[in-house]
Amino acid sequence: MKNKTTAFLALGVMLLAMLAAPLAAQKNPKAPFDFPKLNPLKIPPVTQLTLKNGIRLYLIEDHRFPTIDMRGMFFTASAFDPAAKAGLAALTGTVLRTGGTERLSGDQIDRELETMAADIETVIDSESGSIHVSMLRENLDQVLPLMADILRRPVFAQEKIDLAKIDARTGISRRNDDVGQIAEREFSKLIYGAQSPYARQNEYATIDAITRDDMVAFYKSYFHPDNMRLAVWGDFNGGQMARKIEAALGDWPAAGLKLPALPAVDYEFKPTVSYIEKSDVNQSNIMVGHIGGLLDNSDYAALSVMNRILSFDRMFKRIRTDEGLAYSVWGYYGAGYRVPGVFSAGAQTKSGSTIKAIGIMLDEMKRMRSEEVSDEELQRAKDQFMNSYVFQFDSRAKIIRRMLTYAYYGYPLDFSEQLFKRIETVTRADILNAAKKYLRPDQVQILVVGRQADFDKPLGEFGTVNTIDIAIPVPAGEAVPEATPESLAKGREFFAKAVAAAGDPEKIKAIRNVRMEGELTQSTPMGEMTMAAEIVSVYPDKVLFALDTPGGKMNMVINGAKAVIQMPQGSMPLPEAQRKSIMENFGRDLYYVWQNAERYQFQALGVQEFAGREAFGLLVTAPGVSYHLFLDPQTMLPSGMSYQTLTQEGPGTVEERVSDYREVDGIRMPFKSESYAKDKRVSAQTVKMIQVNAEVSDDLFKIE
Amino acid sequence: MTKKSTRAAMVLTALLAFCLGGSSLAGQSMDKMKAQIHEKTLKNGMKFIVMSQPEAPVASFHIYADVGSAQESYGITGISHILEHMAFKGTTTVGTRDFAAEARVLDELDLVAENLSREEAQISPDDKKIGELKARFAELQKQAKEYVINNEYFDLVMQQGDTGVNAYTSYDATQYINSLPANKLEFWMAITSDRFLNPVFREFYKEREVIMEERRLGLETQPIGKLLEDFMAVAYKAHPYHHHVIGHMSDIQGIRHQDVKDYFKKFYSPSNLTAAIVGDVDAAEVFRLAELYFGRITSGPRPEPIRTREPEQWGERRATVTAQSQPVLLVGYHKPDVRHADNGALDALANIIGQGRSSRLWESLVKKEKAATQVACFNNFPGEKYPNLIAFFSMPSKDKTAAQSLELIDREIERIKKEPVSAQELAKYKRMTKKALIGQMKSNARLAALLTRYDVVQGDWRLVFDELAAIDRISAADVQRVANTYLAAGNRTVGEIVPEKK
Repeated sequence: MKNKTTAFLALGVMLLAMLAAPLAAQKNPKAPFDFPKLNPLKIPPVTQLTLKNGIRLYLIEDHRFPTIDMRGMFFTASAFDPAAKAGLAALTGTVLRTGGTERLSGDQIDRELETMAADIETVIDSESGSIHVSMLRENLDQVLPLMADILRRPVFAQEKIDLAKIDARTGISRRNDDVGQIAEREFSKLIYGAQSPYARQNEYATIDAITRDDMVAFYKSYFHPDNMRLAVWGDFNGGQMARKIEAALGDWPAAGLKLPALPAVDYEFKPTVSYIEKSDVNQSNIMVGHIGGLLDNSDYAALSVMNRILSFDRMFKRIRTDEGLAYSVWGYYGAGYRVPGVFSAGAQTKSGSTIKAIGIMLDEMKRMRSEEVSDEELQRAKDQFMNSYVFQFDSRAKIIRRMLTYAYYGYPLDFSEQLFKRIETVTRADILNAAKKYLRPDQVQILVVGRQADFDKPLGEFGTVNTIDIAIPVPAGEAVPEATPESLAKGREFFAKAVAAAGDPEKIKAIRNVRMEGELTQSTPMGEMTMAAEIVSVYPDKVLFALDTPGGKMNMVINGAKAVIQMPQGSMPLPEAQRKSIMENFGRDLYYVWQNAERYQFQALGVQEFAGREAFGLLVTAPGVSYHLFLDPQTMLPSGMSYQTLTQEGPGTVEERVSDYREVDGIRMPFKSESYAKDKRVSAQTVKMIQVNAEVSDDLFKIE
Repeated sequence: MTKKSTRAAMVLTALLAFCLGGSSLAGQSMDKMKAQIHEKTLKNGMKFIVMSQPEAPVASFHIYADVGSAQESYGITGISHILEHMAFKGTTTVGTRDFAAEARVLDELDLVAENLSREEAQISPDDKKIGELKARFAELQKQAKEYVINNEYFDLVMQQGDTGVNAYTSYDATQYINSLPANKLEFWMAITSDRFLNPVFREFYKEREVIMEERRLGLETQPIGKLLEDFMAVAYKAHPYHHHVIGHMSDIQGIRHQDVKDYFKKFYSPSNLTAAIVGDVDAAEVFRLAELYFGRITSGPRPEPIRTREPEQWGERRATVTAQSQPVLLVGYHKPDVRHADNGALDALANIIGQGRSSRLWESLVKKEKAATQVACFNNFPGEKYPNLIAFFSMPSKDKTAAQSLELIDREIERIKKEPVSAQELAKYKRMTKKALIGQMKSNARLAALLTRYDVVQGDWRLVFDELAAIDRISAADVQRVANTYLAAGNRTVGEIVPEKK
């Protein structure tokens, strides 16, 4: 019965469709359309004028809405930050606006502006300084003087500098929260160099080093009318607006600036593979690439067509649609105005398909430069450029802002028109040539942020893996008194006494290795865990930990820059942060320090409290090492040390206490040691046996 | 004394309101815009709203499907969003080389997938059978792929110059957008109506994997994503705002092709769709073409409204996410939907307490106490169609805790309950809102979105333009009253990211 009804209905629908068919003139979406001609643009041209003091103005009226917007640009850049004060330009850009003016405090400006529903924002980024203003038409006469004051008479109030620094420090403390942010930042460091002005990051130390004087000086170097371009769009009369701007900024004297050139980028093509461990994620963030180029490159038209094909027709269609490996995926040759961009391909894929996804990305890069794109691909890409071209001109804000950008970077104001004309003539051969010239799939840098324990294959398939440590450098500890020749001499004397208290200094100098057997206690979230341990340290850079864990035997082998964990199930690289922290132990080891004493500085700090008792304190430092050593006033033997490191609760201080000295081979060595972080015991070591200069085979430290 | 100053404040408020009401802001430009808008409802129930904007020869197209994750039930969470993805997979003509042949393979693929998941769910699954089914499944996927023209829909619209093709799924709605040169109107009608008339959800099984990656990307690898999911699950015990738009991983993995087809049938009938087109188009021409193309779609019943309402809360709730992250605080109080008479005053409250650098929370937490580097309050979270939350968000400064932020937020909440907001604050709110609204109207795409949203959720697109007058009617007393009504500790959920201790 039910079937019958359905059949009847179906028949009805068919009949209806047949009846309707001749009447309908609907086109199939794939049929050719006879498109009507586009209406012409009704947007007037931009008015350009220059004030006597050099401010270049760009004006366009738009009376459809009662608002006015402005964007001013100054040539400056965070690339001009001194390396030790990374963050200076950005802080200057922020406090220029928040720090107030001679007339009003920053808080008063906030209130005045928001009461009018107006905004003024200033920012200095890697390649420019800018001010953006937006307001209702009726507030022009209040907002314009505020803007002029901010640009001409900022006071950089210390209170707002402090606030901006809190914000910057918070930013540093949060920079490893987001995987995407980590990947982008670290990839940029791989391309431009970790210390490059285009990639380096702010650190607590660089933010702390910035003073108000630095900011005022930075501001004074760049914020002048002859270095200013100002675009204005919205509901105003052009002539009147020019007069008002003249009144607000016209008497700002020109400085006759000589502007510096941006630092150059020096890139050397090389294949690298880098890995960052993020143990709490189930997806890898992958970036693959090398340096890109400049927009004014004559091959850029071909490259921009290639970008659409590589990114969409190749990477997206294959990795996302065919393979279902990623949500977001791209392959893009980036070009900058003055600073070379970055070529990158990337995707985020579940940990278990990491290597597969990288393989496909590399394949597609190779294919791009081994065969011509198809006619259809080229046609689609060009059609897309041609048909969407009108969107470059669909709003006055877009038109004038683009013009301002071109003017700022010294590009022809009709750069996009020129590019468009060149794109029209791009051929399949042009794309192949450009791909061959600019893509280097065999010299890409690969970066993966993720959890390698779950990867489909080892990342080492692509080359030697460099593990990047993204631990945030710990803020400087408490202040210590400044060193004097006396305190340094006394410090060195005390250290020599400590060594002599342990044994014959020459004999200690001759220690090549120390082998210990005993028990190691480690605090874990489940409580303390004790296991039998054998530790072999070979100076200066090899350590073996052989542990009897509840899960079976485990060896940790550190051999210089290489480190591995060996377990019955197989072996895996030791996370870089752990390797580094174990290696740092050498730098604080009494025997090692004595053997390298000429590289160290010892500063006597006087009598201090350590572990509830009095001790002589020494500040021991060398490049990359800094710790406090405490000596028992009676025996002069070390009672322990403290240092800054990454603890289980983030950066913090660890206190290591040693005791139970016994003689081994004529040297007094501690048989007990305990580590504390915030007064909580985190680990302990009880030694049963120590051997000095034992026969130790190099094979123990072999890492493939 | 107090009485007198309150009165003075009220007089001032009234004066300010008067001044603003008469200003150029609302005035003619709003009326002029309203007059440029026309609407038509087709016989099948689909509504078109058209606004001519001849500034440039382009147009933005917006389709609002009145279905979001709030329509989903257990087992199919995330299906609205899956459907959003599948709606781009083509039709019986777009995206295929031979639909008749392809359809046979797709049907068998579904059958094998069904048998496979049934076998896997057995208490003692037959590994051999599973192996065979998997092999067959892989073989059929390979066959199906032979018929597919990869992403043909996207290629076609981008080739015609589409710069804004996209779609969004939210708790409340699924929205599809395009931006094309204005002369491509009929092409848009043809390709878009085809998607609703003859959809084929091909490549379904691969797309589920893409969406699983999307969930990992946006939620599982993001501490804040995790917090949002858990926070909503705690704040809502009954109403479907409980689950995240992306859906549970196991549901994404388990939803069947047939589920998607059924869901489409139920929620994508013309009566559940509203379109807006803003740009250099002629309304009469739009309506003629809409009738010709979209008029072909058979009408269906409007889906039943959601039955489940969130019951009254019995006490404060807490959601905690432990992550390798610095702390984050999120607090939400239950309040009614966007149509409720109190919503306007809650918007004002959210602005005065927590939007902008001169807002109370910013001045207290960021500037004075330096306890946070960002703090905000927003109303209508995570959706607006159903009773939702007014929420507070804080990013504590380095070495500061979420608890400190909460204490300071509570202090400001107590203050706004005790004392009326100032006339100056209220006037500031009104101005900021007006300017924001004008900002949205400047863009064809945003205006098209606004018109459909108001029409569906508020019942009439005209209310976009009446919003300004409605704002003028909000008083300090209204703000104080809603603060006391809704911002009660027993009515809230506190969510927090707690830094993981390794």
